[in-house]
Amino acid sequence: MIDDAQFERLVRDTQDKALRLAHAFLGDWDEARDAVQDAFVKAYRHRRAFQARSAPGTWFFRILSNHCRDRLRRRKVRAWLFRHPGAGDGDPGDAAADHGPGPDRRAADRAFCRDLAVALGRLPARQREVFRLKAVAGLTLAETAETLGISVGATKAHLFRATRALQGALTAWKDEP
Amino acid sequence: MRSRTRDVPAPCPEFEAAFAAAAWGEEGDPAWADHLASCSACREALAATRDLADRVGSAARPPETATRGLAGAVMDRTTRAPRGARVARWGWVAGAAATAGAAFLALRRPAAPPQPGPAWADVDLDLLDDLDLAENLDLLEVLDALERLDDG
Repeated sequence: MIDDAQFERLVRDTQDKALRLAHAFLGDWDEARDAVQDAFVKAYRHRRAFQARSAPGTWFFRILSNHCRDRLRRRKVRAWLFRHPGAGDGDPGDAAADHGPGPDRRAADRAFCRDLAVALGRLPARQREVFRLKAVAGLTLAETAETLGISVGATKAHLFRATRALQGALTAWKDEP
Repeated sequence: MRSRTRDVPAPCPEFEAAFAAAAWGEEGDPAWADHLASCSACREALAATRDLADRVGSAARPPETATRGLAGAVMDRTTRAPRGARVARWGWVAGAAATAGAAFLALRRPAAPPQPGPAWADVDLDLLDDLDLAENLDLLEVLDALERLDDG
């Protein structure tokens, strides 16, 4: 059970990582923000079911990951229904739409996000999940392991393989400014 | 996008796990730190991976429009949601549940047992022929009384 004060602390402590994680799934900051809000509301409604077997943060990241997957599924169904090409693929095109740096940097970040999303899509599911949580969302190794229900050692192994694969896939970006 | 993993500097195999942790900002393995000081291949691999980490970190940073007011918006829908609204919402839920329950019970209630009454099939149809007589019984009794007076 999480009381209101604990819940508010959870929101403030995890909102940044939560946005990164949702964006890694959905590729759109506005949709990521909506998804994070909805996932927090869902967590609040189920706060009595929380048992302190895991940290509140990892409990919430599991809820958020499932919620993002649901959104992706719905998006794919919509894309199929309306035959809208690309709508189901998660377009990370606006990934850096509102970043502080100038337009060149924003465009470069946007293009990088697109390539990263494609490369991530080619990884085995577990490697992709580990990379999203650890490298993109910024969770610790322990949080990542707990969220996925695997050991820290396995998390490191998946992270290593994902990193190597992505480095190979993104070599074109190595010398970009 | 063609994968060229072999072109990327690789760390020593026995330190892959420590390397992955260090590349993504989690140091803390003293054996790895000692090894790194003496291994140029691992240093090169780490530097190459940190390029990727920096780029991912930059691209994944949420814009201010995404973070601004997010916590407040969440609280407004949860801990700060007006109690009245919550009660009203639950009131609707309770009302709907009660209505559904009542409808369910009404539909499931067994039909009322048949009340005892005339078995219409058994009505003696001959009675129907004398219906005029039965309806004018009072009048006939008056006529009988008048005839008795006359006789008397």
